[in-house]
Amino acid sequence: MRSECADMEGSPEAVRRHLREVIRRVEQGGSEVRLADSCVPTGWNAVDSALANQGAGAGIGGLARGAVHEWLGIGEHGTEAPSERERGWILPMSLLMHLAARAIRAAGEGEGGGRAAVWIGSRCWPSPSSFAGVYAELLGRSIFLEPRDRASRLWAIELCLRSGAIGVVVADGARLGMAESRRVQLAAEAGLARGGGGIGLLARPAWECGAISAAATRWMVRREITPGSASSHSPPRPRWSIELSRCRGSASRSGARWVLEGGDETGVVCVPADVVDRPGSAADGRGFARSA
Amino acid sequence: MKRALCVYLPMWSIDLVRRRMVAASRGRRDRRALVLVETDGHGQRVARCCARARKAGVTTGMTLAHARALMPIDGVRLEPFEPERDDAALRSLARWAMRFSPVVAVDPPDGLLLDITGCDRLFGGDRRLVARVGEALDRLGFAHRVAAGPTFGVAWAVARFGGQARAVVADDGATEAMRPLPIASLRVADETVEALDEVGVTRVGEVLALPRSTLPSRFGAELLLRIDQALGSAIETIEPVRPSLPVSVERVFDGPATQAEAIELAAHELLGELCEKLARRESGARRVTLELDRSDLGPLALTVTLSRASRDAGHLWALLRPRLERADHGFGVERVMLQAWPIERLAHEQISRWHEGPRDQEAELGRLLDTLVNRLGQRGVTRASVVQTHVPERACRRVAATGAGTSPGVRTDEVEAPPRPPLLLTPAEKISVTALTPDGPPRRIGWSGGQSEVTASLGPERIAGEWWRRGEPTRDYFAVQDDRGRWLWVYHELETGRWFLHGRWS
Repeated sequence: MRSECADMEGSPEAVRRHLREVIRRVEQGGSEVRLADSCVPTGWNAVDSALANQGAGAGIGGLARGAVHEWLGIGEHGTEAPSERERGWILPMSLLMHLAARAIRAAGEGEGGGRAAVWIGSRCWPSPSSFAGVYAELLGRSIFLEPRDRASRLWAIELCLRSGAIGVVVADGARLGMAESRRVQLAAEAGLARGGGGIGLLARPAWECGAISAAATRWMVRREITPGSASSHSPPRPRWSIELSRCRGSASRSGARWVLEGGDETGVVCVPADVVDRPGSAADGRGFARSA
Repeated sequence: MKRALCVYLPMWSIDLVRRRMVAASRGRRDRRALVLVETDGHGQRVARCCARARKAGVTTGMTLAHARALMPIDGVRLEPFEPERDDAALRSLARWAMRFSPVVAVDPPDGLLLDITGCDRLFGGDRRLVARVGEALDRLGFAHRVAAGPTFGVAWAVARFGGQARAVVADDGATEAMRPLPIASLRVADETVEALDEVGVTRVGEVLALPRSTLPSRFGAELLLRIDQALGSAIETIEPVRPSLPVSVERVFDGPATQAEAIELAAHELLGELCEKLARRESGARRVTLELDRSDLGPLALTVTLSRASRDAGHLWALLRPRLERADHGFGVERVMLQAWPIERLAHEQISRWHEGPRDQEAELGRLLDTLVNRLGQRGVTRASVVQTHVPERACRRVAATGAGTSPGVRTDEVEAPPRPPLLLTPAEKISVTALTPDGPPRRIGWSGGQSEVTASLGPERIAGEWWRRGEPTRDYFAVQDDRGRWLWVYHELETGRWFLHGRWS
């Protein structure tokens, strides 16, 4: 602890805050493991700065640890097509993979060992061949669960969130009631108190946007059209727009929107607002993304 | 009155290797001579040889080249000499021999010593016991010599140097039996044998005739000790092998117990006792079985398998209790037994309250996987590993999460494949496509999502089937974006001209 205090330059206030944090952790019986952040940075700067000051950590924001975040999608651009419900829903899988990879990496910093990622529900399983490149480490740490019924699914979500060894739980959260989502949120908080600090990502279909839940944040994902014609050799660049439709504890941030684009080497990137509509944007000069 | 039995296996290593060869070749016997070779600093030497090689003149310690020269070219089989393996096999044989006596010791490198005091009553006399041992070893196929006597020394000597293959020495006949045997049968060092030989003493009878008080000063104290042990004046003990038994605890009820709480309470307490027993042995269990003897139905066994050896009563109870709650008690349970088998060594650890390192996390993950597997089944908890194939639907393999080898494969293709969609449809969905050219990128797609106009398309990427599988079509893959922003992965079968939708990015 002395070395940690020495590392913190600056005001005695910062040192005091840090000491209070340590005392709180010791009193609560949590472990000595110091998580690098109390939230998982999403890697999208605009989103992170909007989510900053959410947790106790100073500086970088992100998805809070020890909490459940709902991802509703993928909805159509504009209004919802009613026939989508019969066909079944498509998850924003690339976004979930990107966030899971960030959660694993963030957990591994400073301790030398990363935590596992759990994918609950066969609908939520990404195909393993898509784990190439930046997601290769994620595949090594992924465990896939197939619960037989709804009760087992909920039980598995709670168990994994409450345990300290899981970094991220990506689960099929369709048709979750208010009580169930509250239980899941409490399990995530209990996991944080035990020193786990995993995040829960619940994927729900887009037509459940009216359902109330106890999740910390709720995001709506919609499809966007990638403008411009890419050359026939660059990888596909799907685009989504995400909207923070609900953020517990802060009403002012709700409603903000960002545009994300996938297919990059680093995963999913955030497209700045002023270049959203330019043809070939975010892909300029990339060309052969897989050359070299 | 003490009685001892000695088993001498003169061809132990040779017989073992022959057994392994027969087992490996599925019953066909190799009629060639067998020579076991050991390699040391000076080259390769003969360690053991079979009877046929011995007849040709091969002896232990001879160089391999010399031995080969004595034997016909294709008539000898050479195998490496593995003394540790033979010792381990001898220990297994000792455990097998516990059917004749509870106290069996290993006499390396090729013998067994049994304490058969009182065992003759079970077999109807010493002679019958010796005969039974001989027959059993015959069935196993080991060349043997068996002798029973009043002391270990006599039995050892008669087994190795006596005239008959199966001998029984009476209680008072020890001295008579030992007299004609050579000095080496007293189990003394070679120097003592040589020293006695120098003075012309070659038989035990002659040593016994020498005055006792002169023996220690001239030939060492060991000689006198061995003589006394052989004749029964000195005590000799052996170190018996211990069989490994499963750890089990049980509780018998006073009549069939019908209340579920009573059975659960008994099982919980038994689990505590079992974990204490494991702690005393410094071991952990890999599998715990709870057996309920029901009065009208048969016994019910509930098994919990663990990914890591554990003696944590809380964890085991958390796994066992749901199974017990769902169990059918029948008319009543009369006996509850808890058994831990197999067990593994699990050293005691200093519990650290504050520091949670990566090893703790691994243990925590192991416990979590156990609980998940217990409820969801082995198939419900899997990891995925990448298979070396370019065919997309076969490019991964699901393995049980707790099995060995859980690291994913790494693709070592020289050509990096274009990125694959995270959502693959199985089976691929048949679609109707309008394209400018038959092989060209699609312009309009009719599929379950409706009619879509294609605004951008990437590809084609050609993936041919694996040549060792017949009938696999060659496919041209296109990644297309439609007017609604959906990115689809479609392919076109070259041979049949059909179009399919295989995956989606969004």
